[in-house]
Amino acid sequence: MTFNSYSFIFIFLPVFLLGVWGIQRFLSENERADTLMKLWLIVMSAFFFVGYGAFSICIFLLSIVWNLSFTYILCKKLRNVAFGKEGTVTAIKAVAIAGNALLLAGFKFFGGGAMPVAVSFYTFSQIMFIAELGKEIKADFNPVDYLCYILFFPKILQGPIADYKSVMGGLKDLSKKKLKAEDFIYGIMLFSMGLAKKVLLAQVLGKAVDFGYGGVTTMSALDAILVAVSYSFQLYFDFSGYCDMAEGICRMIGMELTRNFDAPYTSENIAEFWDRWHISLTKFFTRYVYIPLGGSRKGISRTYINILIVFLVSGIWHGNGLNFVMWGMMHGVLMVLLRIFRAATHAKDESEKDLAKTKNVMALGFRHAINTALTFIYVTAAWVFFRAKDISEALTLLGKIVSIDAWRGLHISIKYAECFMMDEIWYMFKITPIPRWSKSNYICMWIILIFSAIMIFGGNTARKIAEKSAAFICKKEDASRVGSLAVSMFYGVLFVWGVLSLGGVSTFLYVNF
Amino acid sequence: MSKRNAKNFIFSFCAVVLVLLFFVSAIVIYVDPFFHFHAPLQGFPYIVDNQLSQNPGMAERMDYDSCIIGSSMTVNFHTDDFGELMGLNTLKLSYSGAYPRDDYNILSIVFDKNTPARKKNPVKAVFLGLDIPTMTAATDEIKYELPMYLYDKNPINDVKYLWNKDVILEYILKPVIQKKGTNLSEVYASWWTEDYYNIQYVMHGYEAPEAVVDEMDADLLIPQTKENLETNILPFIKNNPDTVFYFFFPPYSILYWNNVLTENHFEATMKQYEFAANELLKYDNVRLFYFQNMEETVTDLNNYADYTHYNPRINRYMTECFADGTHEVRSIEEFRDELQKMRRIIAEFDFEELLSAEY
Repeated sequence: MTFNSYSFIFIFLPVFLLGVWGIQRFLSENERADTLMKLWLIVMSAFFFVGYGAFSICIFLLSIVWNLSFTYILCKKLRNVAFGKEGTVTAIKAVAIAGNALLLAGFKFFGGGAMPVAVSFYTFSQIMFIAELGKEIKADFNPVDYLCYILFFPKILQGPIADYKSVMGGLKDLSKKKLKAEDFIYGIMLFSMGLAKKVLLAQVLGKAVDFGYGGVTTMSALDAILVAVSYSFQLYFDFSGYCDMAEGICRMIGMELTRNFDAPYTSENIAEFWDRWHISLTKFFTRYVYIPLGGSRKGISRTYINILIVFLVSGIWHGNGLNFVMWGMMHGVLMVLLRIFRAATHAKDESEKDLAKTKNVMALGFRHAINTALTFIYVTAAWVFFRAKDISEALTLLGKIVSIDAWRGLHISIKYAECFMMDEIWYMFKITPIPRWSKSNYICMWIILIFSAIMIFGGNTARKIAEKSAAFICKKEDASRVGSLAVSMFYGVLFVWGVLSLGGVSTFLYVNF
Repeated sequence: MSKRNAKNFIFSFCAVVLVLLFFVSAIVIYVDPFFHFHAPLQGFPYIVDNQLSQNPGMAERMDYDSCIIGSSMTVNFHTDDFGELMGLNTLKLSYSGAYPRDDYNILSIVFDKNTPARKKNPVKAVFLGLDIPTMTAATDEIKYELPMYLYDKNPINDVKYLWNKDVILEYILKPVIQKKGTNLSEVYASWWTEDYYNIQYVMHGYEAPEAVVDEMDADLLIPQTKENLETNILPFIKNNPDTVFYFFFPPYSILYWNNVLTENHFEATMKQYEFAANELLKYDNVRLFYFQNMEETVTDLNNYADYTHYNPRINRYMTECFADGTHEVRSIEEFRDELQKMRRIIAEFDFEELLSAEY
C-alpha cells in the first residue's frame, strides 16, 4: 500500500485515525492505553506492509527477528556489564550491525534487481536502534516499543530515517492526547499538498523525464537542459511530496515527524543543500559513518577523506552502478572544495559580515541568487548521473548541453513538450484561441515548469503554506467566513484533484503479438 | 484559537470533497464511457479506443449476435462487412497482442448468460484469429495487466473507474467537445492509410531473429498448445454447440516463415498447426479457414505494414471467405494438403534475394 492509493486514503487512513482517536477519547484513562495505542500502530503498520508480497514480508521478518534477538542479548549484557568490560557489548553490536549491512549489501549487489520493499530504510533504522541501545535507548527489552519504532508505517517506505527517540518521543502519551483541531487541519492541508506534489507535478514531470532519457542521443541542448531540470524537480516533488503526506498523517494524530526536506534547492552551497535535502539521511551518515571515521577530529586531510567516504557510501546506498558512485563523488568533491575554500578564506563569515555592514539588500539578494543558481546547476548535473542508466548515458546528456551543434536552432522537441500536456490545462485552453497557435504545445510545458520553479525557489514549502493556512483558520478570531471558505475550497479541490489523478486508464504500447 | 473557524474549515473541506466526488461519480455513472454500469446512451459520441478497459463493458452490454476475437490480426476487420455479407450484427473485441488467456477472459464475458447482452441475443458466431506462436504461452499468461476493477464483480474497487481523471477528461469531456464518436465498425483499426503498406516500409522495420543451429524437436510445441487449447479455447466450443466458431490462421507474410526457418523450428511449427487444426476439426460447430498459403498475397510485401500485419483489403477478403467458404478446410486431410502447399511456397521462395536487396 502507498499513501497515494484509493485503498489507503479511503479505507486504511480513516480506520487508522478512528482507532487512534477512539483510544484517545475512550481509553485515555486506562492504564494500558499507551500499550494499546502502540499495539494499534503495530497492527495497522503490519496491514500497511502486508500487500507487498511474501518476499518483502519474509525479508522484513528476517531483519526483525535478527535485530530483536540481538536486542534481547544486548539488553541482558548491558544490564550486567561491568565497568570497563564494554568490549563485549561493542562486539555484539558490531555483529548485529554487520548482519544488517550484509542484508542490505547482499540485495544491492547480488540481488539481481530483486529488492525487498523498503529494505534500505528499515535497515538504517535497525542500525540506528542497535547502535543507540544502552546509550540514547534504555536497555530494557521491550518488543512492543521496538516493533512500534521499526514498523511505524508513515516512515517505513520512504523515510524519514527517523531515530528512535524522535519517533517514540512523538508517540509518548499519544493515548492521552486530545485531538487538536489545528493539528488535524494542518495534517489535512499538508497531506493534500503532498498528494498533489506527488501525483500531479511529479507524475507529469516524470513522463517528460522518461521520454527524454528514452532518446538521449537525439536531443538538442535545450532538450537536455530541460530534461535534467525536470528530473531535479520531479525528484523533489515526488520525494518531498511523500514525506509531506507522512508528516500530514502524523499531525492528524497529534504527533510530529522528523522533517526531511526544507526547500533544498534554495541552498546557497552544497553543505547547505545536504542540511535541507533528505535531512534524516544526512544525519544518519554524519552520525554513523562520518563521526566513527574520526569526523573532523583527525586533521584536515582525514576530514576531507572522511567526507569523500561518506558520499561514496551514500552513492552506493542509493543504487548499484558506477553512475551512483559518480553522483556521490560529485557531491563529496564539491563538499571538500567548499571546506578548502572556507578554510582558506574564511569566506563565509567575512563576506556575510561585510554584506551585513553595507546592509545592501540588493547585493545580498544578488549573491543569494547567484549562489543558489550555481548550487542548483551543480546538483542538477549530479542528478543526471543518478537518473541515467550508466555513466555513458549521463555524459551523453551533459555533452549535449556543451555541444555547439546541439545548440543550433535553439530547438525543443515537440514530443518532449507534449509530455507536459496535462488534460486539465489543455481543456482550459480550449476556451481560448491558444490551441490554434502552432506553438501551443509548448505553453503547457512552460506553465508547469515555471509553476514548479516558483514552488521550489520561492521558499514557500508545503509545510510553511500549511502552517500559514492552518494559522489563518485557527488563530485569527476575525478570519472572515468567506476567507475561511475559500481556504477550505482550495484544499478540498486540491485533494479531489489528487484523488482523481491516482489512477489512469490502462494503456499499452503496441507490440507485435 | 477560534474553534468555530476550525470546525467550519473541517466541515467545508469535507463538504467540498464529498460534493465533488459525488458529482464526478454521478457523471461517470450517467455517461459510463466504459459501459460498466449500463448500455451506451443514445446519441452520446462515445470514444472507444481502449481494448483493455472498454472490451469487457462492450461484451456485457452491447447489442450483438457475433463477435471478433483475437490479436491485432483482427483489428482491421470492418464489422459492417459481416452485416453486409453474413447478416450478422458483429462486435469487435480484439486485444492487440492477445494470448490465449486474453481470448479466454473476453469469451468468458461473451458467453456469460447473466449479462444484459446475452439476455438480449444468443451468440450466433465467433470469429477467432488463431496466432499459433502464442499457443506456447503459459495458460494463465496475459499480454497486458488488466484493469481488474472493470473485470471483476467487486463494487468497491469501482472507485478506480468513478474517480479517474482520464475517464472524465478523455472519455467524457473530450467526446462532448469534439462531438464525434468512434465508428464501432472500424474500432481499434491500426495502420489505417495505404501509405503503411509497402515493401520498403516493411523491410526497413524488419529485423531477422538470431539464427539457431539446432533444430527444435518436432513434438516440442505440442504439449503447451494442447494445454492452451483445452484450457482457454475448446471449453467454449464444447459448451456452446449452437454457436458457430470461425477459426482462421491469419495470412502472415513470407517473412514470418523466414523467422520460423531462421529460428529452426519449421517442422515443429508445421506439426503445431496440424495439431491445432486436428483438435478444432473434431467439433461440428467449428469452421476452419487457412489463409496462410494465399501465395500472391503472402509473398508480396506491398500487402503488409510489417512482417505479419496485412492490408485491411485482406480482412475484407477473409470476411467474404467466411461467407462463401473459400479457403475453408473441412478435414485434417484437406488441412495437410494446405500445409503441403505452404511448404512448397516456402521452399520455392527466394529469401536470399528478398533479404539482400536494397530498400
